[in-house]
Amino acid sequence: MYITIDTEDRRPIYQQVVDEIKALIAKGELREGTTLPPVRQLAADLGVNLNTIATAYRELQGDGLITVKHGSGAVVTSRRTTNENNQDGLRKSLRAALTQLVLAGLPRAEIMGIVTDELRSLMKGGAK
Amino acid sequence: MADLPVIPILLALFALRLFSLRRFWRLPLRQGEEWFFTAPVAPGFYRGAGLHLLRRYRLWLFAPLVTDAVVVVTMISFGRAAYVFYEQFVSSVLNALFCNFLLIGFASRAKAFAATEEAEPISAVSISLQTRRLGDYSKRIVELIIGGLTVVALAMLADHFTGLVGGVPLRTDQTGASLRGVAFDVVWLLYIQLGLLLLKGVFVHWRMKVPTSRTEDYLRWRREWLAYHVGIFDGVRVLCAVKLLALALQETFEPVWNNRVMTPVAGSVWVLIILVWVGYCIRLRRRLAVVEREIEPVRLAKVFPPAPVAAGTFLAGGLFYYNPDNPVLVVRSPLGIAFNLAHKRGYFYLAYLAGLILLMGWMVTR
Repeated sequence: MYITIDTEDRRPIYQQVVDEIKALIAKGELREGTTLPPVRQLAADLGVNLNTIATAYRELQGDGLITVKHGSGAVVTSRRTTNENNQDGLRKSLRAALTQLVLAGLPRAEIMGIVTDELRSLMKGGAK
Repeated sequence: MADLPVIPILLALFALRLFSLRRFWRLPLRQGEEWFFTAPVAPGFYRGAGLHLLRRYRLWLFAPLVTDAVVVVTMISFGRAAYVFYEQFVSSVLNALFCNFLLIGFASRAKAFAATEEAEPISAVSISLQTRRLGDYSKRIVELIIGGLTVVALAMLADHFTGLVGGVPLRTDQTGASLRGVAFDVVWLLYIQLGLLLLKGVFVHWRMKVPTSRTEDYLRWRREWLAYHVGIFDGVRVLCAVKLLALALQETFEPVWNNRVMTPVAGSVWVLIILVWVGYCIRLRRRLAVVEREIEPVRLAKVFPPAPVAAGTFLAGGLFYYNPDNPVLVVRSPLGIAFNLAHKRGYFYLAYLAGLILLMGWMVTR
């Protein structure tokens, strides 16, 4: 199980770490009770500051997906974020992503295909 | 160590080390004539400057063996034959470090002869989410054997010299010289065990970037690579524990141990143990070689993005670095590499090396 980080991505590295771990949790590849690597290990592997990974873990903890225990590492505790009822916010994020696809000139059918593929990839791990 | 047939075992060890150099001998050309290890080189490189570079590299590979042979002969001629196995441990570790640094150094020199066309820059890298703690790579049964043998041996020695467990202690005039000799062996054996545990930790915690293509293959190779090294380290730790127990038995049952029958028996048992050990190493190496032939991990080295120069304060002209928020011990500096002085574990390694030098000093002067 691994995450991929791209230094040329516009998102900051901590955000990429958050998104990648969230995707693995959504796909069911990271199940409840799975231990994540300590901040030090992930930061060393990526060659980044400890705070970068600590910020990512804090954000995941804030979303209720993991619990960080000092000394024993981070553990996946849930496959549901605590802000799942914030549908307006999520709709805005989805709209922003769809806007990018429309502005890229993709036809409706292709956009639907991309959305379906992504959704299938996320749901194949048994996400409800 | 007097019960060991020194010369045959030494010859076997040298033969084994010579045999293991084959890998380093072949590594520069592993990917073909367009490469020097992981450095891409211009066509015809090995018909010009490359040939000279390759010859020098291969010649340097033998430097530790030649140096070691001189040291061993000197030790034997000065009556220190009993300690050559400790020296062999230190020199094997130094030899492995030397060969790796030699390869990296010569690959770096070969980069000056790189083909002119620019490769596409790589910006993405994968990171494994598998935890890498020492406990994840330790077998309980192996640790129990090592711990058990060590505790039993130390208890037997303590009982033999002090009567701690209810026995009758030897009189001081009987124990003086013997105790000093045994203490020396015990300290060395425990120190080697500790060193191998530290080395195992270094390999387990070694930072691991994974290429974005053939990621699963690379992870599989990495698992096998780690299993090979951890297997070797644990194997030597078990050997040290067995030797410690043999030492305790030898001291406790000295009259029986040193009679005419037992001496060759003990020697034969040790030869058998070493043969089993060599067979175990060859088996581990073959398992890794099968995976390496299939995956060819050296070809994956080119798909890593280059490490950026670390952000932070460089000291002593770029030799040292200080940044408590950077968890890496060796970082890339503007001059090459620098040691992060804020890395706490680094001080353990330094203390261990200092202790090793002191022990070597003790070995020479006692």
